[in-house]
Amino acid sequence: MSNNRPYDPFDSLSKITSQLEKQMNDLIYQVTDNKEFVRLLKRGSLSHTLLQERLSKNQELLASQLNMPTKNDLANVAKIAIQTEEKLDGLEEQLWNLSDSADKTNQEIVTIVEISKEVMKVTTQLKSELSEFGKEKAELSEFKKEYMELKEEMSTMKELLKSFITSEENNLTEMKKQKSKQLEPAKAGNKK
Amino acid sequence: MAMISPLIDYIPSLDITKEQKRWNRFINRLNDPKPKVNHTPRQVVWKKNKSTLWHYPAVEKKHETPIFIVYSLVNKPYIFDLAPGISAIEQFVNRGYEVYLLDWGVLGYEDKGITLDDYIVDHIQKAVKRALRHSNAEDITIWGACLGGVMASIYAAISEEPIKNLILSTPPIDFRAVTQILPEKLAESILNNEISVDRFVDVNGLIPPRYLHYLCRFISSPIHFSSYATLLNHGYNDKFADKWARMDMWTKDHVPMSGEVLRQIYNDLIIDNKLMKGELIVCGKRVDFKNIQANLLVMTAANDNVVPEEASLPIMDLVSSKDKTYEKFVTGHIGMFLSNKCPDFMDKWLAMRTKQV
Repeated sequence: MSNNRPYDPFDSLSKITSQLEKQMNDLIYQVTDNKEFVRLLKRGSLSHTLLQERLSKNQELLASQLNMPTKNDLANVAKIAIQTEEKLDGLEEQLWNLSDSADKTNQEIVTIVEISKEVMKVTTQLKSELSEFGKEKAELSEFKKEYMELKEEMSTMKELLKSFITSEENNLTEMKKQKSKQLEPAKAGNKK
Repeated sequence: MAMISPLIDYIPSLDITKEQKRWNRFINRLNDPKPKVNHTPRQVVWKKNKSTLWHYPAVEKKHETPIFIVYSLVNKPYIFDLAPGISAIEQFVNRGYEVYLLDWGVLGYEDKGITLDDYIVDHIQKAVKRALRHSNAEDITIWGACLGGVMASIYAAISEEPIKNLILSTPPIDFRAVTQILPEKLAESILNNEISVDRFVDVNGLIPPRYLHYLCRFISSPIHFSSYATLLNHGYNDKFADKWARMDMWTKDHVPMSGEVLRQIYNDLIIDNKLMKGELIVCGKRVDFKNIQANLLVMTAANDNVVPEEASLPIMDLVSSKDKTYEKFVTGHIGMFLSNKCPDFMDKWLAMRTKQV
């Protein structure tokens, strides 16, 4: 049994046409690769362009005589529509910018509101701390008042004690004097 | 008989059903209406003139940084979302990325005066601002493909928006290297300013898609018929035929280009090579790639026949980014968006450089 593929005429046709195509293109390449061809191409394109130019000029002239719009007239109208579209486009972009700046402002406002909330929170906290501080201050002044009263009482007591001690000292001196007086006649009797 | 028997193995057996299917698909694919694209769920975020900013919400959001796609001005961007299973956007959305795509739309004659400056400042910059606002993200990943890569890198060099990552796939930064794929004498004439596009632009104003189609053909492959033989070869395969039809539609689906953009690309980027010299001025700002600080990923394709590797590589040395990655895929210019290799690699690269949800 042979491993060779059966002959496929279409495959061969494909290969032959590829080769033929390549050879023909190479031939064209060679034929066109000279100064004469370039000169011919230049002249051909120039004469073609001149002919086209004359034709379009005559067309324009004829159309203007017949009061008929030409391709250029239609193009000019279309250009106006394009310009309008461009202006709309520009306006749309400006709207974008406006909406962008509005979004930015909104974001800033949101940030400011958040900061304000924070400030308010801190103020409320400070306020409550202040009232607590006021209470403490009142308590402290009460305490101070009591302390002053106590101090006054203490000084009164001190004075009282002092006067009591003075009076007691006086009494003691008096008693000592009286006792010495009582003892003087007895001493005199003994001497006798 | 002994001589004939080994040859019998080579004679194809005729499978009537297969052949019927092959020829039906081949004929139908050439005549069928265009297949539907852009299947991944999406919604419009912003519209400006013909441009639309699309949002593809993540299936399950896993990454904070969204991906913003800037595509070329030559083709339509549905190459990123061709079909289920062949969609880079679908892959990123399934992997938890929020994706934004700036679709340039189809220009009208009134748009003939649009310049690269307008595209970069009035469209890309504004769309990035919208995407950042829409996604509520702190930063963004910019992914520019092909000419979109050039525009993304120009934007990144002058932008004020927070670009975290810059991904460029096959960006033709050095346009001189791109001209190397043209016939030598033709490239020489272009670079010596012997062929001018100024008059052509003045007359046409808007470059018709057919001209761009022929221009792309001329650059990559002027004669192109092998793809039809490939369709005939694999036409019996439904999946292949469908993918082929979508790719065929996309490659022919060019959009008109503003003449002024063509003039700028031709004069400033190709002839004067201002991007490489750091001389390009966009809306009064000098485009200096040294201003790019974002993490950079540059991807090129080894079989690219439109933008060679040499055209994309120079940006690696021009930027100030500390985190730079270069990856070369063995694929073609477009194949990068169709296979899983590129999104897989990008996902791994981005996962390390984006904030997770």
